[in-house]
Amino acid sequence: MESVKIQLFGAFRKHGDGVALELPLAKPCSLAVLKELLATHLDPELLRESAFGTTTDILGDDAIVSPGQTLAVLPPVCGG
Amino acid sequence: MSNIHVQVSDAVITSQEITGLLDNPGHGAQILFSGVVRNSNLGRQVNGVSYDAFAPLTTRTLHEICVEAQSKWGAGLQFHVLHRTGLVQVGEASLLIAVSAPHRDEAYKASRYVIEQIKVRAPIWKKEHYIDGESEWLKGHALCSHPRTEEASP
Repeated sequence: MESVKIQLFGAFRKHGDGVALELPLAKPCSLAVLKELLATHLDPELLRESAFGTTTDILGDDAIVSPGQTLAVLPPVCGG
Repeated sequence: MSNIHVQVSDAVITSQEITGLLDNPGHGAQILFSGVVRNSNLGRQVNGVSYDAFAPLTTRTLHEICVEAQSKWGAGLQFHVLHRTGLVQVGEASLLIAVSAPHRDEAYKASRYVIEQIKVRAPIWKKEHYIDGESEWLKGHALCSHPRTEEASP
């Protein structure tokens, strides 16, 4: 089965520092559905507060995620 | 040379190096903002801070913020923005924002805009290291897919 890769940053690094999480995904789904699938793999409370992004954009919950895609899960930020 | 230069890097850079890049002879104001790691936070003694960043999206976001500042205070404004990654020791700069403008008013406003937007929009995270040996990721601002923050408008 194909999968999506989820890059982990910040506090999510406790789930795998430097290693992307691979989640089986047979067909395209919304980001909202993907979040539900991820809740069993990542800290659910932190996941609720987090956004998802590509190298160019932050995605809305209605964005469509396709098998083979790589996303980043972005917990609340605190740069500076 | 482009008027906007942004960088996300684990390399140390000095304030002299970055202000030296501001080279517009028509600009009478230069502002340098340095974000520096301090030795305490919320009552705990801090040794240093590790910065993590989603570099490609951070670079794009920093550039976008500078473009917004140019649209507000002048297309000719010059920006050099550097954000460190990796371990930054107490007293070292984690962030340098150098802005030049024809006059001080727009330079101050643009510099303030860039730092305030970075705080809430750039995908950067920090983990504080304490003298007791513990470490902790700091809480921050949730990102959304509508990145403009209207409160920062002049």
